[in-house]
Amino acid sequence: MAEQANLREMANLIANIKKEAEKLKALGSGINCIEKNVIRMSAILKMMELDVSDAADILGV
Amino acid sequence: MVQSTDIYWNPFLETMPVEKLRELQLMKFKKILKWGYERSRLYRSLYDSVGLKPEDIKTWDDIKKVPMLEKENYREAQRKEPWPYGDALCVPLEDVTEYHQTSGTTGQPVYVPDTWQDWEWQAENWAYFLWAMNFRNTDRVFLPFGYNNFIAYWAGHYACEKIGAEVVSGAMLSTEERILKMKDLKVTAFMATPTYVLGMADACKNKLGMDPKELGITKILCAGEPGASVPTTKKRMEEAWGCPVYDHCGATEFGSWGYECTFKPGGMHINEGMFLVELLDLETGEPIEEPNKLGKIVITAFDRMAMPSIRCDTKDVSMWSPDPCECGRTFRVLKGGIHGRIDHITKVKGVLFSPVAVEEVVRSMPQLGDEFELVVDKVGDIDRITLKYELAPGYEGKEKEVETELARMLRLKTNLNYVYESHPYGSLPRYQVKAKRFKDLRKEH
Repeated sequence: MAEQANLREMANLIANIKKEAEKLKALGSGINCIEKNVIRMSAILKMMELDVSDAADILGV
Repeated sequence: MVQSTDIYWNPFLETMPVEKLRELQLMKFKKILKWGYERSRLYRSLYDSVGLKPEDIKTWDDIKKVPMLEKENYREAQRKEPWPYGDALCVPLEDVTEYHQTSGTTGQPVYVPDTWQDWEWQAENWAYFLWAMNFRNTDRVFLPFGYNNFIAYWAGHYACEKIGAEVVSGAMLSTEERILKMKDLKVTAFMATPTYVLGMADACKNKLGMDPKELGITKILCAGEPGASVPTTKKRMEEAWGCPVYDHCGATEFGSWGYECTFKPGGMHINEGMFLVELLDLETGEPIEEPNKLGKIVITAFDRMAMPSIRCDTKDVSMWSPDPCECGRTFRVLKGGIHGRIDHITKVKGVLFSPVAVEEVVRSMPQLGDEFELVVDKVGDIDRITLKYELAPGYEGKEKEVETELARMLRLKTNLNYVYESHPYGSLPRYQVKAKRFKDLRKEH
């Protein structure tokens, strides 16, 4: 299916966004509105890792 | 049996080939085992006591070497610091953002912490089954419960937001006020325990003089009790409201792990991407793989990090379904959902007795109201079961005929005789959350 074909690309994108979020957290260290909102972003990214990235790894795509 | 991907919340996990799913589960099991061992004094001491290290678990068969956790282990661990989670906690206390607790039905409540990521995970799990039950962003969902510390509908609330549905809180309202609010707002769906779904229908008819079908509800999600998987109770609810009723299962300590889909496979799918559900033989404790054999449910939640649930003994019983579901999900199905609790399945007069079997009979008889109560006690050395029931409106004075019919059906279903007590309609206790209809007084002495 078409979704399967995009699985690896989605997993890569999730990994990149995660890295960017971590960079943002480091840049905004000590700034509460950044630190706390990045925690929320990271939680959502984690869900996409569980939903998509883990599947991509196991399916070997 | 591959369906359109739109029927799944996550087509990658929900339709993953079974052998890949098992691979994923083993990988995730090892990961959470290591996390628990390294971060929680509760798990470390439990595993150290049998000389088990996380790296000892290499294959699927090794999983059964991991000691099971019982609710009492949590209670014991929570008598220590940091208050109130003690040795069960795996993250710094300052990372905890949510507090809930178990209902306390079986003793001291267990305090359950979640980090924001855990809470996102709760909503994610609920999103799987809301989607499978055809909840969409076009729904206005009513939550007729008091919120408080009861986790289920809190998670349901957040999951509705996640899938884009509109949520309406029904807290701080009486049953009648809730029904009127539902009518006024033209809500399309609601969530409640089976007991309360029936109680609301009763209030609608007998207190407000309305047919519940007039409200135009298109689906109902049940939680908290096994009723929505008891065919006669499900039928009563569906007939009263004129819409499908779906069951789901979960617990405060483990999260929500099972769900029915619109294809209604006669049971509940397990979210096997997020949970490991094992069925163990009631006598030998050996894993059950064959269908149609009753076993104890043991659960591992792979991704709940603040207070993990690793091989938790749920005390619930169920069986594997022999058939895959036509929805195309590869997640296994528990036939008939939850069949009851081990501590409710007891021997009466030497016969194995389950209160769910009585519920099935009571709810199949239109002459009976929705409420009933079962009391087991002893007269001398002999066990006695008393069934307290209410006649439905319009059947007043028919006790004798009804009891004859009840005796015949219960004898067939449970192989036991009962003492019957008729109570005036509306006089037995009504519950909004978990009903307590079964009392075994033999255990109290």
